[in-house]
Amino acid sequence: MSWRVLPEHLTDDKPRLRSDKLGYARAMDAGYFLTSLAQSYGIIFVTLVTFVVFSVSRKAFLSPENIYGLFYGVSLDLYAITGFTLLIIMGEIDLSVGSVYALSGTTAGYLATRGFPTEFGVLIGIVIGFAVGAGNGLLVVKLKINSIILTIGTLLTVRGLSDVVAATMAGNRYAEGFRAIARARFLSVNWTVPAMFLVVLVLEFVLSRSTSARVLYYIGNNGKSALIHGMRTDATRIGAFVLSGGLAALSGVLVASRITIADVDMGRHLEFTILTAAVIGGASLFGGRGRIVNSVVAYLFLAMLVNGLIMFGVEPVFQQVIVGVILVAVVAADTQLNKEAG
Amino acid sequence: MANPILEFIGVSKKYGGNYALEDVSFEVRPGEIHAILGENGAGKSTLVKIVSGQVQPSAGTLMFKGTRVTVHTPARSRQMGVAMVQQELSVFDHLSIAENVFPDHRFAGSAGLINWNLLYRAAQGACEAAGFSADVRAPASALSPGRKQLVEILRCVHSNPSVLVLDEPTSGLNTHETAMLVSLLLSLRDRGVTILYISHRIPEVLALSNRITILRDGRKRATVENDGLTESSLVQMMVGRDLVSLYDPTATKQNGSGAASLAVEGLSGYGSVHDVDLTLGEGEILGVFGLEGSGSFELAETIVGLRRRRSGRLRVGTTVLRRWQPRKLLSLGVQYLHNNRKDAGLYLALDVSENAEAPRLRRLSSHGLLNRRKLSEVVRSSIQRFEIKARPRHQRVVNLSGGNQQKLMMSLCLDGVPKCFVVCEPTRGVDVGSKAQIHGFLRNVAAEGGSIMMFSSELPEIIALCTRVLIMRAGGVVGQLVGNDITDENVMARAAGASN
Amino acid sequence: MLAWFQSSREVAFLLTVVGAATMALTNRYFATASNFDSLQTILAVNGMIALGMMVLLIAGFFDLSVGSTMGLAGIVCAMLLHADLPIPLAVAAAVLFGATFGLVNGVLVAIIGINPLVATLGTMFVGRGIIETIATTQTLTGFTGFPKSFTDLGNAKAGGLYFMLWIFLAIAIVTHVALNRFAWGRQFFFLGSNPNAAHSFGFSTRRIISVAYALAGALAASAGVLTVARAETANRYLGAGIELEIIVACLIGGASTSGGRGSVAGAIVGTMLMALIRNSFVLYELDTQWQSVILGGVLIGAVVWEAAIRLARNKANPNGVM
Repeated sequence: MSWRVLPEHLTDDKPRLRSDKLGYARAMDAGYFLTSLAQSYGIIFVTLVTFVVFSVSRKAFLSPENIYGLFYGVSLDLYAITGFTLLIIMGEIDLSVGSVYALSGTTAGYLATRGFPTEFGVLIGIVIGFAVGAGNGLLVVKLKINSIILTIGTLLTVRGLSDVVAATMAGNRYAEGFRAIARARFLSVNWTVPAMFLVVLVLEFVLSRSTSARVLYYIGNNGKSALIHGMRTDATRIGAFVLSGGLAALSGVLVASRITIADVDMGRHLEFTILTAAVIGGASLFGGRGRIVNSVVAYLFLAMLVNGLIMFGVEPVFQQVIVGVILVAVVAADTQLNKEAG
Repeated sequence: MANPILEFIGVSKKYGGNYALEDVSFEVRPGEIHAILGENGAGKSTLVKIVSGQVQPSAGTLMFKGTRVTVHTPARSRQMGVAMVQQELSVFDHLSIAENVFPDHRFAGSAGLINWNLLYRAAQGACEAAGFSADVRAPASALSPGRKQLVEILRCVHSNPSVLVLDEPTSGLNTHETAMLVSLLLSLRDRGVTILYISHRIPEVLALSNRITILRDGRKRATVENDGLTESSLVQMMVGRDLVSLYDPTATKQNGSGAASLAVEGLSGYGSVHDVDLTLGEGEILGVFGLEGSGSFELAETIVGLRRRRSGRLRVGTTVLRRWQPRKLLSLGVQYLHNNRKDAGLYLALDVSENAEAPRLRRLSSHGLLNRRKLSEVVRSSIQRFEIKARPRHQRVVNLSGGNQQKLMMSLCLDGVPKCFVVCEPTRGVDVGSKAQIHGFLRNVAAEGGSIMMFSSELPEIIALCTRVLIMRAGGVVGQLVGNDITDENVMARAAGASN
Repeated sequence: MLAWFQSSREVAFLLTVVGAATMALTNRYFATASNFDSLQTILAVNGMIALGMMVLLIAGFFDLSVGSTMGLAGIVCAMLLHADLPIPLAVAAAVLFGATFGLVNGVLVAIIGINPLVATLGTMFVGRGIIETIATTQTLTGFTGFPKSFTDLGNAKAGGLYFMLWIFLAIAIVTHVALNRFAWGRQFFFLGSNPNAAHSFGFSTRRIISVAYALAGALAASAGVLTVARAETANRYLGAGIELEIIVACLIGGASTSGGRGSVAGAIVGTMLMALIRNSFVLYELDTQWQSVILGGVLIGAVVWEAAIRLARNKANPNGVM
């Protein structure tokens, strides 16, 4: 993802660390260490603090149903968050996740309701996600189109298609079998919740150790270096778009199953929320940085914030304002740090 | 004799431990064309940056029109009447040629109302005075790169400067365009404009200048009147030096076993590179030398697959390739060292360990997972072998010194099994000590049977390391020197276009 | 001939003419007075916003928050009118508000250096959120009941055309003149074409960007005020989603995502074509869902075409793979 960087914001001479007489740079780059510490763990700390503050001040917040509800909600959107984070690590963005989420979910539900087996509906939904992702990926990578503008186009087209399907459903509920997907329980909780913990743990491990995953970070840091070192930059980029589409679709299917009817507002502004979560979770829009755990925790934080503020009497619609301000503030800080530190 | 318009008195510029300029003193007289001649690394670009205000001298004084210049900024230098033509193209592609010549729209009336006819007429006149005809209403994107360069020069010329500074202005121009520029500059001089002309092209410098200041290794070698000078005397002044100082005189040069490990046939790119044939032998260090604009780095990138090519084949060992990417060459054992570590080759925001991991991902993985033990072993041995002074973790590579960054980049490239290496500017921006170390690494590689194609614009290292040197100019290979023929003068003469 | 097709603006114009002719022939409601009325109002309102967006695109930037500015300014105007402020003052305050909102965007992008996507996405949501919050204090229909002299702004005609269309044309002419006949107007093109060179030459890039964003905000605010005047109501949906339609209109009107290109004529043509497309949805009774699909399709088509041309042109140029 590239955009115009004004010349004033490019710094030439960066302050170098002073060397000791043997030429070693100073003991540790304290700035680097602290900043990456903050980026890695800051959001976890913030989330815990927020949790404590809300729990202490509003009894309703601490109720098991409320807390469970938060985790359940995040566990469904988890996959879309993952896909989006993978792309951001590589320095790309896909603004169509919300629309793909809606189209796939609604289509899967529609097919199930029309008599097709539930599994078939789900499969088609996910295939749609892969297809849209592939379309995005090919156009962005091969034709070198700006990913922001292109995925806005995809956002509109796919949203329209999902509205068409939603209209066909005409407010009817999805088939029983389909509705059961999100409701299925495992040890008295919805299966998606333990799945979330499991998936996040596995992904953390994989992303930090798997060589194929580390390629994402290198491409995000310096695509030309990655190319010189033999990484398949084009194929990996396209693959990440495809994966992001498929994962958004998976989340969409789960959420459609949960809300049981076709809702035209499903997934609207999802990309905005996930983008905010990724950024406050420490991912950089310039690429090369980001962790799934952090994006998920940040998403939970946002959900918690919205949930808690309602209990304080803040208008639900005002939440947008708060989230918008947080997004701009965090990106401003990130941009400043990037300017100074290279 | 009138007072000098520009004067350097004992100017030095130090970067870290290196002197880019050391105690340089000379003066520029009003109304003359004063050339600054020197090879790469001689200090020309630093000198120019001091004049334009982009860089402050570490010591010494700059005098302009008799007054001492204290803190100099690009805005101040513009104010003082210094106009500089940069090396990077600053053309506005979408706008007309006329607006490119006069971006400030000085012919506009009060309140900034533009008189287009006046603008077009003025631009037309400016182009014709320079000797080239063009439809000034057409967008600048339609021009060839050489013409674009000329338009930029016109832009500076017409800002009515008292001092016009041109930094390698002919590097993108063909012979016709160069002739246009020369006559334009001569007519400017007749009008009393002082011109500071930085170049390495000897024929032009001789054709144009009143006086020439030759820089060598950051010092002023001489300031001479252009009166009866010969090309060879200039070459001598540019490069004659004590080679004994920096480079190990006892080190034997590798001769190569004769078997060709890499061959290029008929390679042409989309830029200036055309019809290049060359072969690299096993155990050989082949030097490719070219000055700015020669297309040498373009060639390196085209060979490695980073640039698209129009035609040509590559032969690696016994494999013939018609289409290839960097990845393919890596699998055949060809490694590439990029010429600018700030651009590519390193991951500046990551630490040493992560950088070391990147080119070896497959080798370091067992069952698709990173083998941390193997990685730390590799990192430890790289740091040791290449004498990199840095901590393996928790330290961004961008904060290392230039020499250590370069050694790190080398360690990513020169690795273990002797293979074939395409190396560009191996000691760029590196202190003297690290330079010697890096040359040692390269020699070792060749001694173990690896082949190195070294693209460099630093003549001393070419001469110190290579038994065979190819010289490039204007996108083609114009000469080859072997063995004892490899001298500063011979190489520079071919590279700078001096006919002998 | 092929070169002519490379100009998006000319193709868009051709499509508009052909489209209008087709619609006139195949649909008996197209050439009616009431249809022309709605086409005029769409053109005037959207066109105004498109002018501001076009200037930004020429400079190499964009603004996703124009819809929120439009809505917020409309509501501010409505609130001021309800507080019995004289009409000129209320309108002026609303436009000033829009300019200020735009200036905030300008500061975020030009001075702090935030990516225009994130900056304007953020301000869009903040603006939308404020609109929604204010809307909760009103009934579903929002603010109503304005003095006649105000609603005349939106409904009165002069010489057969809507008053607001004349205003739009006037603004368009002024913008065109500024961009083409004034030295400071040309600076948008310089900045968009080569920001580094513009900076080295001494153009104040920060000032140019801030002005462009403030202008876009002011124009969006004016569009909001006029829409409220015409519809005689200011509700939460005012301006929602309009930014994407405007960006598409500018892109098909000849603007480039990378800056340096664009024109007032292009903005007008692009807006007309988009208005025609929207009109056809109504006249041919196309379901509203397909509108998004077509809008998205047009956007994708426009950027793909631009990219294809750019790649074909670059093939002959000395450019690297990366």
